[in-house]
Amino acid sequence: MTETRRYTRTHEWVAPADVPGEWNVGITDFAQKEVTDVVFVELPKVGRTLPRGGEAAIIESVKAAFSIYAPASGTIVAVNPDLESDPGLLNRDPYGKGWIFRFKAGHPEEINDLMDEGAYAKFLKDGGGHPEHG
Amino acid sequence: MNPTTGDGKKSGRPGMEPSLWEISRSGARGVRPVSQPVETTDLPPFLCRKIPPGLPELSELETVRHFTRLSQLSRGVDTHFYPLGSCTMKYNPKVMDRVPALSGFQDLHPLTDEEGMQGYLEALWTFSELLKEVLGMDAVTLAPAAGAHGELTGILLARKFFRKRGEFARTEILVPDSAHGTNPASASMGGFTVRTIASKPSGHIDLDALTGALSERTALVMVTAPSTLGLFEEELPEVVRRVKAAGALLYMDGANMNAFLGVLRPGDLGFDIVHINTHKTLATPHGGGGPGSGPVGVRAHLAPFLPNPRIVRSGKTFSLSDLPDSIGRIRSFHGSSGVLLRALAYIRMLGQDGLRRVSLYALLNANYLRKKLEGLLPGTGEGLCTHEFVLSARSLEKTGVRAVDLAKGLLDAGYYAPTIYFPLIVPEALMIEPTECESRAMLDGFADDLTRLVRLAGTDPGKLLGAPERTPVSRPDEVRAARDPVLVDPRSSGESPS
Amino acid sequence: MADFIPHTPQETMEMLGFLGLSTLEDLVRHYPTDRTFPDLPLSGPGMTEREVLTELDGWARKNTGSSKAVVFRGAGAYDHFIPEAVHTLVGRGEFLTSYTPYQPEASQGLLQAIFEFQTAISRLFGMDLSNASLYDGATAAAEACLVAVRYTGRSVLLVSEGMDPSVVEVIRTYTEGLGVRLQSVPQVQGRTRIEDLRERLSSEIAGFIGAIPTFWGTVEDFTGFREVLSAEGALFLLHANPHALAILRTPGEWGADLATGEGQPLGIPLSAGGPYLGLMTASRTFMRRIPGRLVGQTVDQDGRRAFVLTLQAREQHIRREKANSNICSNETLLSIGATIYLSLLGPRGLYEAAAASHRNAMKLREGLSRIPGIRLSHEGVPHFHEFVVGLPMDARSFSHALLERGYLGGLPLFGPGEPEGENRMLWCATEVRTDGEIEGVLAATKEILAGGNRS
Repeated sequence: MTETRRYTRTHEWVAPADVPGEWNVGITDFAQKEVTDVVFVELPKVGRTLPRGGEAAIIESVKAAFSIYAPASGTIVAVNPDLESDPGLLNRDPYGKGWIFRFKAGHPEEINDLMDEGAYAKFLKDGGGHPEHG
Repeated sequence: MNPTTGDGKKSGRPGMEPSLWEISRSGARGVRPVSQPVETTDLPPFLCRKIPPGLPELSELETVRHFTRLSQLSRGVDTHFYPLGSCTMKYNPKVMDRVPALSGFQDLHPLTDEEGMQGYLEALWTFSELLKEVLGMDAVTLAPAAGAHGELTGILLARKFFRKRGEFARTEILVPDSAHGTNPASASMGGFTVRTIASKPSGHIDLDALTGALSERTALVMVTAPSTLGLFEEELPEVVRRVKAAGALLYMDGANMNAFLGVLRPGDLGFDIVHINTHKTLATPHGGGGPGSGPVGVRAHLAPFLPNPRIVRSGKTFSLSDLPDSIGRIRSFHGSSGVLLRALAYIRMLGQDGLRRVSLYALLNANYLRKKLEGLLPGTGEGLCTHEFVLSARSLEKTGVRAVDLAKGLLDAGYYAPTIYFPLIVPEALMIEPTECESRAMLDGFADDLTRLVRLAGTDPGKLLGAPERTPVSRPDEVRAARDPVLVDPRSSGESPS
Repeated sequence: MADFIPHTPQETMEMLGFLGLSTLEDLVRHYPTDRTFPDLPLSGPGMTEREVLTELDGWARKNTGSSKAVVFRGAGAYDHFIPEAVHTLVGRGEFLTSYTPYQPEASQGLLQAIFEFQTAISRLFGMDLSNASLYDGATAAAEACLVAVRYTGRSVLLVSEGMDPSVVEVIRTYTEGLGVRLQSVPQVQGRTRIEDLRERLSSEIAGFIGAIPTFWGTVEDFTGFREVLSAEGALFLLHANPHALAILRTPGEWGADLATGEGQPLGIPLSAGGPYLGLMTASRTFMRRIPGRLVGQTVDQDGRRAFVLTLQAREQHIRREKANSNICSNETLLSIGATIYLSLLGPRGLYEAAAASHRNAMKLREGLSRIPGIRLSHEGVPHFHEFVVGLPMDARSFSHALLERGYLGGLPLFGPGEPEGENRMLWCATEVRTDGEIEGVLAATKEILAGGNRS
């Protein structure tokens, strides 16, 4: 699983879903710690088309809000309904049950440009910044 | 004792007060509004409510005790030193409370025929003349209900100004990253795109960043003067020059006007638009978060666009009139007279010399307290500060103590807390504004207590992390509050249909 | 001259000395300008408490339209009875001189009072929740319209002709910069017809806003509105007089998504138009979309009940240009006053005050209808404590003549957009008007009209 996962500089992860051509997106463990307790997730509408880097979702903590950007262009095909009743899933299981949305990639090659596990680890080690406030 | 609200004795904290609905008793009556009540109306039943309004039922004494106790569970300037930076929590002179309560003001209907409200119109006209003088501006509107409302007004003025001149491309507003959140939020509400200008490490405006962002798309540049870091923009004259050269307007967020009162005028500095907060600078009470008011002053080229209605003098008579090019109405009636008349009384009592002394002593107190705290925590800026200053608690990081913990410790020490985590550009910020109204003894005591608390971070951080211990409650669970919000008392009766 | 500065001359010198300065003026020498210490001749030499009260009282006394006149005027501001205890309690220094409760532990009483306000207002409106207040009724209606525009992503608002024209003007001011268009829905005999609404609906419509009661005093039947609007994906907004909701069917019962109102009738003095109290209520769907402060109930670390400002991630200090409003200060002190008012009157008292207002207004309407030359508008339509009549003379001159006789009569209606032409007057009576006062204003009316058209 971790070999196929890719990472953005804004701390989203993207990994292939069960259906070929579809990808799951969430935030990294580093990001969930920075955000602290997530209290609300504003999920995108299914069917929405986003450009690469477009604002897809917003996650809120008590004192801050963070934008979640589309790691690649595509169309939203599903959102994680469990986050509505239990936004803490993002903190407890960021790479699993805390996934945020699934999208069908418009240009799958854009995902290849993202960082792999090792590159992201190095990015963090080099002070890879903080999640951007929305 | 109520099980959910009062274990006062056990914890050493003052007990909380039950809710209105917990002490409500079906059938209890308080004040009776009419001596001969009617029980029914002629209205058809399908136009009448079926679900009772679920209001509490109490005797008058029970209501009086309830709200008196609630007041005792809160702190105000009347009870505590309130060094809440950027909010200018100064003393609210008691005589000013009498003014809006005068018969003739308090009972005046806003839509009274003009001949029946001449005194009111004259008083407000007089106040706007005084503000024109104090701000160095050509025209003033008293309509805005708060500072942020004044900002929106100013932004809509700028929009109208450029539309009138056919400059439709000016769609951007530049805001420094040290600004109050209301600045970018107001700009968005006015239909503008916001561009954030990064500050220099010193906290001052970065002239290069400003110049890089200025273009023929810029409508307005919003500057807080003095800045939210308690600094006078060292290059303000150059900022003014460059903004004007780009054909944009310059807005002053006057939230910090307490540093300039009688000393310096926004109009003389080159600003086109300024708002002030009467509940900060002119000593009207903050009321737990309003009512405030946010008069806006403008230079002559923006005067035709001010909100309707305008108070106009013609000889000895005053009237209300609508200007054709106005941005329109921004509220139902003319202004928050109950607040504005208080502010008018404040200026009249102080006079020119008093106004100057206010600002000079606000500066004296801030600089005195800052120097007393020198070396304790790193601060921003060099040399003298203005009416407030910012410290950073980041140096305490390894102890686990954060700005919020120092704030809670100050609550236990018998103060309200400084503003924390603002401005955003200072990590772990503590923003302290003593105002001119606090005595040296109070400032000395506060400095001693903050010094003790910072030392405590090194010796016994747990004590601070567990603070406050003397308030009615310990730190509330804010995550729980925001995840599954309870915004209405579940004990109140009356069902909501949805 | 007062300045409220506590320092003795000795302390001032010592504090300056501590800073290495010799005069107060040294504190501003680094300001990069030569324009310091301007002359402020208008500000004068300063005054004592007594002098300033004398000056202000002089202006107050010139307002002959105030308590010196008997008020039969409403139109958005109402002369209701206010119990003394309201004034006494809102004057408590801990409420009056505090600020927005950013430190919850030191502001539990204030937070609880706001929470109780939210509860009372949401119950009164029959809605799921209420915020902690906005500036006034008009800005609350405008903010609700902005919620509808953002939520639907659409840019046309349908506005009932029953809305207060000044409220509509504020909605226009607030929405114009965002490219929003207002479209009027006409009224026939003081009522909005559902077919007129349906005709104007399209996928461009963000929502419809109507009034309870209308500006003209009529009470609308909104049956079916909710369904028709929902079918087009538009929101249903209602703007209500909270005092009237003691009796009238609530926004919640009509199925409104968002409901706003002017809280002034709930124990807030007329004060020439402000400060007033903006009310904003909503169904739970819009909980995270409405503007303004919200207080929530939670527990502290030891499980005690506690109150906090919550859902702050919507607000300007966090979300900045993406916030759902720029509002910061609201009208907290007045919201506490309204809660005290509602607590003192209780459900029975509020009903009695509202019913007596309505009774007095209908008595006045009946009396006016018998005066030759006066025509009632909206006959046969239910009203609530306000109504329109046509006069046989210029309404402004008539109002002036009434004021000379000690009555602030109905509001003269004129200009475009007013129904049924010129010389109309919008009358109101509240529970504080006596039979004697009603008879008095009727007699004055007869006298003025008998004297012919003086304009």
